Amino acid sequence: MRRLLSIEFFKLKNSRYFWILSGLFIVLLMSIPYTARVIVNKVSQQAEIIDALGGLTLPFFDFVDVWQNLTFIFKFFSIFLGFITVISVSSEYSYGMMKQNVIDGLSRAEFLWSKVLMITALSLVMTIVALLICLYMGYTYSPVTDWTFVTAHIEFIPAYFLHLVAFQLFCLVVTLVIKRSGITIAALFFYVLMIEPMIASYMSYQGLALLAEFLPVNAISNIIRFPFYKYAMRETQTTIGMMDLGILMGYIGLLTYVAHRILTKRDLA
Amino acid sequence: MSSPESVLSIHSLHKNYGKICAVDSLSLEIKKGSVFGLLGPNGSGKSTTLGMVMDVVVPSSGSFTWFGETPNHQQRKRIGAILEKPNFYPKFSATKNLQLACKIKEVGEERIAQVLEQVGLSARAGYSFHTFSLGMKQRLAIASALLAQPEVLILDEPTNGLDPQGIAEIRQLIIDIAQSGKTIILASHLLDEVQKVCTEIAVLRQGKLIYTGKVNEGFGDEVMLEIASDDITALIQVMKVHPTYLSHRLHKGHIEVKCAKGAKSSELSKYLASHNIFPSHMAEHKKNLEQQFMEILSQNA
Ligand SMILES: Nc1ncnc2c1ncn2[C@@H]1O[C@H](COP(=O)(O)OP(=O)(O)OP(=O)(O)O)[C@@H](O)[C@H]1O
Ligand SMILES: [Mg+2]
Repeated sequence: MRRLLSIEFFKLKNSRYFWILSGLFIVLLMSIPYTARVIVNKVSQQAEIIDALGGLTLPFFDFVDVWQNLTFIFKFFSIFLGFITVISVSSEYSYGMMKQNVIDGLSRAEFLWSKVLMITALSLVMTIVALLICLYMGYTYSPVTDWTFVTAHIEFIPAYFLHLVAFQLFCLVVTLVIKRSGITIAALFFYVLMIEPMIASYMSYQGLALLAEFLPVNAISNIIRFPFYKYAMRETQTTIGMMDLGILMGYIGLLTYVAHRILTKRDLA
Repeated sequence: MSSPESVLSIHSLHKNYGKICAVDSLSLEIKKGSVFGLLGPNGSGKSTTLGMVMDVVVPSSGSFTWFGETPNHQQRKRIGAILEKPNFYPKFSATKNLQLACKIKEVGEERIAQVLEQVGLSARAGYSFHTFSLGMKQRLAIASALLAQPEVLILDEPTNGLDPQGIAEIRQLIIDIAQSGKTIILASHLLDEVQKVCTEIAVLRQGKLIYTGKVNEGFGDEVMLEIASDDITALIQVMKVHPTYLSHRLHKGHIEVKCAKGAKSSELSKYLASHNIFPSHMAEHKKNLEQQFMEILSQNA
């Protein structure tokens, strides 16, 4: 396992796109609290909400709320982490390196594990960054910093980790199918932003909202649900749903299986 | 059954690409220490065959064993292979690319300097692969194949893109490696290349094996002579009645005569002189692999 990870890290650390994209990703994560702070202040000043809250600012960064609020927003940037996977896998194709690695003595399965391990390691690092940002914001703005309060609903951190892993596995499979980085990135944008939302709303319209939960991007995303309704006094899911977790884990398994199948059954051109 | 001496044994291997049958029930046995030439015209299935035994191409059916065992990736670390074109990360330097290969093959990095020296690339070790010329890329591929001091070398057109000096060097390298007892599998359509280095050949045509044997087998049987003279007609007439005469072909200014085994140019020039024919040019050449190859191909057409 160490060997596979070191092979993959050797490839990444010598590639500029890796440093640019992961740097960009971290910068984006760190910029969120700041932007959110500005927005929260603005929103808080609006009369109705002040009334609703009895004259307080939104408890956006307070412990308990901060985990779900921030990880939910962080999800929007997952695509940049996904690009690392897309570029890494598509360049293996375009330079014939998948083939060469196998010729040199890597098994096809080992090739897949090197990618999956790197996805896991990268997700772990980014999850730790997210954890630190949440802790920092919480300790800065939360009126209560009681340990039991701090750790309540910290489950959104492991949930964010699973989300990152699953999304990158999704990118891995799409790249294995499409092979070319440019087309893959375009296809991902198109699918994530247009196709799946369209299918999902069509399903809801047909009364099949439950089915829409099983669409891949929904499944990968639903582990951290939209948290902000609660500030408008509407019903909000403030924890991780067991079904959401089940579907996500199912997808992680399925995507890994599909990637394994593609890699072991196909000619490596 | 494969003997313990067998390095690679292939059993009725098939590969179909849609309707095209790229490799058609191919069976081969490659023994330890042989320098095996895989010959065949373009598209005859050489690269596909090598791709299958290196687990890059998935066979449609059939099987093969390496070193008498079912194929696995550990064995491939003991094999150095160049298939078709050199594959490297374009932005990595030669050294970085070889470092990666070392990690995969689990070989110490001290080999890098040695193999770069061996292929004459030491001076360019720190340069990006994409700045290399075609021949330099090919040399780097050979260096990479040699990293693990492999027992078997698979070379698919290894001198492709090399300059004459490079070709000579690589051929010498192949011969040296072969002399150290290693097994070499060489696919090529450069017949003199195969003739210079190989001990055995297999000829493929449209995916089918149509000939296997030792390179020198059947070579000295017939003698080919190139003879030029002012009076070609007389020359032909006289040659036709010589006891070793088999056939001839007329070329511009000379004839090519095929004579039976044992014909000697010294003896023939005396014979011609006795008939008052004094050739302006006379050269004997053994029937070369190219002619043998063409013959095999046309016989099986
Ligand atoms: N990926 C592929 N898809 C479809 N057909 C292929 C593919 N690869 C090879 N072929 C076909 O398989 C046959 C054998 O090709 P192969 O590359 O093995 O020939 P070769 O003997 O190496 O030829 P060359 O001397 O030109 O290198 C050809 O007809 C070729 O068109
Ligand atoms: Mg070929």
